[in-house]
Amino acid sequence: MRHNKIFQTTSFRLVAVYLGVFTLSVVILGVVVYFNVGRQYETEFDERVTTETRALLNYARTHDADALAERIRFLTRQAGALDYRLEGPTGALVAGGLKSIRTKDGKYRDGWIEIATPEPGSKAASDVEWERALVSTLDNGDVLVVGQQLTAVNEARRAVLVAFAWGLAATLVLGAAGGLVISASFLRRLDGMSRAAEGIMAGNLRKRIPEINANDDLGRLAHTFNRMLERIERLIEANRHVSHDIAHDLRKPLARIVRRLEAARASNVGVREYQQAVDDAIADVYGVLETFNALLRIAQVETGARQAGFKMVDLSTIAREVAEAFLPAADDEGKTLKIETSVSLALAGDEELLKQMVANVIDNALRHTPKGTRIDVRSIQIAGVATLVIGDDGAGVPEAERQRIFERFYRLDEARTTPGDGLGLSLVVAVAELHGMKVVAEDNRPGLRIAIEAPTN
Amino acid sequence: MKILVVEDDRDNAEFIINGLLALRHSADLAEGGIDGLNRAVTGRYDAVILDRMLPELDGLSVVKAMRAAGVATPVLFLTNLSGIDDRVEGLSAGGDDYLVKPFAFSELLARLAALARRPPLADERTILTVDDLEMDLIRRTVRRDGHMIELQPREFQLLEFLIRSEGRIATRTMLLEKVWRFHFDPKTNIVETHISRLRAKVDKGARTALIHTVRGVGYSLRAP
Repeated sequence: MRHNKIFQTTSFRLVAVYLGVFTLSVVILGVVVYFNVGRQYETEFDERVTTETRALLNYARTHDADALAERIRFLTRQAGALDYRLEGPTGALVAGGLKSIRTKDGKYRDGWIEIATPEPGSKAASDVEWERALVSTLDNGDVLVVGQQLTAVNEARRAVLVAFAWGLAATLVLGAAGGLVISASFLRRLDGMSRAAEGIMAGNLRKRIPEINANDDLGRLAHTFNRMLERIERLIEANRHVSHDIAHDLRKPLARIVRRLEAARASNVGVREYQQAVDDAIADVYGVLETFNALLRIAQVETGARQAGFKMVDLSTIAREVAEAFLPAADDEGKTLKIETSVSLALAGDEELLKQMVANVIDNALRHTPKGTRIDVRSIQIAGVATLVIGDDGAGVPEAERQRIFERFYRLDEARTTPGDGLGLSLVVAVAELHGMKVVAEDNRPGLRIAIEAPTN
Repeated sequence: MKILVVEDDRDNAEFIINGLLALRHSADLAEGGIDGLNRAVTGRYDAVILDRMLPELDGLSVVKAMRAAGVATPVLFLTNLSGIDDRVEGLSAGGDDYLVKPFAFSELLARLAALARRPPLADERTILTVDDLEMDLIRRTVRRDGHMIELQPREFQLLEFLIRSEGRIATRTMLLEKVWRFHFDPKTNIVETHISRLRAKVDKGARTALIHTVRGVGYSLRAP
């Protein structure tokens, strides 16, 4: 199964096609080299033989037959000598070792011939060595044959053939292996993708495609897919959160309204009391609606739909404006609100949401601290990162609880008696994350401080 | 005021129209977008209350068609959608104000009154006066009975809005939107605390108070 799949991959097919083309070109090159090498050798041979023949013919003209025979014998003894034969007009061998070039009826022709000589020590008919020789008739009727074995040419050709054969074999083996390896890794990564997709279909939204090499095309594809999956996960999570929250946390206030109205209905009281009960119920319903809206807004922010309309804003300026709105209220509650926003916090964002984010943090600080508390709204640089810090010197939040304050409907036990729906800081996180900012709750020694780090990019 | 209500939700339409009639305003009802558009174009109304989701023709299209036909009647959008984008969409389509259902009738009324008596576009007054209160918009100064009053910039804006709405009610949310441009409701009493500071500066020691609280609804500035 797996191997069939490999052969069907695009990358394997691509490799196979390349391999085929490459093989063909190697073969063509081999043929060309083979013939060229042969021709080159033959030309050199022929020249040597021609030169030698010409020299001997000259020699024959100035010397007598015996001297020529002596000369040929001498030459034969030299290392790397050519092959010679000097025979009488009737074909009788005078000097040299070459066999006769005449046909059975004693005829011969001047010019180039090729003679087959059995390879020494071998009896098979096919094992012959070819000798290329130049035949010339001397003035006195003697015949001179100068030749040379073609072994060297054939060996050179064979060497070329062998070299190319090995090269071809190596090409095929390496190419096929490379194709398999590439296809296998391609397939492995595709399998990773489809496994992730199947996992997600099976309900595990956290599944991601393994990002093996982020820089190649598949890696980038995987990365894009993962970002898409992240977004989908967030959308689904947000959806799930809202339905869960509505189911669990809106029941309580609704039940209270029903209880109040039923109590009023059951008791025997006057119009004034009835009116009071109705007014209370209306106020409660508005409270529920407000919670409902807050939940929807968080969900809306979490889905990230608003990013399209982002503009460049300065969170510092926004924080100052918003904080200033709280000055009289803080004063009335006997608290000090200090604003120090000289460090710019420029970012692409939604001014309205950022305003609400800052307002919620200040709201939170004001509502959960005692009289006399000092609240600081500052924009500062922390390790090179522009950060909006809103801190108080109130009672603070125990370390174990500190991250939980951002959860929906989470409220510290001490805070249960103060008004609030436990959603304010959830929205803060949602808005911050929408803008690529990080929110952390820290110990302000004493008190709580919320740090919102500007996005770094 | 003569108001056109374009709303397909019978309950809500009845709630609005009964409330308006009880206050001796007159009100017409259109239950669909096309009927609403016809009435808005042919009739003369002080304001139109327009639901976003209507049969036949949705609210956004109605207001666009009205504006295209040159009808400048102020439009107040009503909607179930509390999304932030929806408000922006409604306003950029040509709506003048926006209210999310459910709402208190007093809020609707205050906003209608503000729309219906919206000053002409070219309001070029540079000095606003109410009784013995005088606001110079160029010099950014405020005098009461000839005495200079020092105001913070935001207090100045708040007072300006109240003076421009003289005799009408400015609700808490209207002030948050118009003065602070907060389209959400902070838990902290931002409006109340600012009003009390403004009062301390404007009304304290004066013969009569100009800034009045309308209980459970908002504030109103008027001459005695």
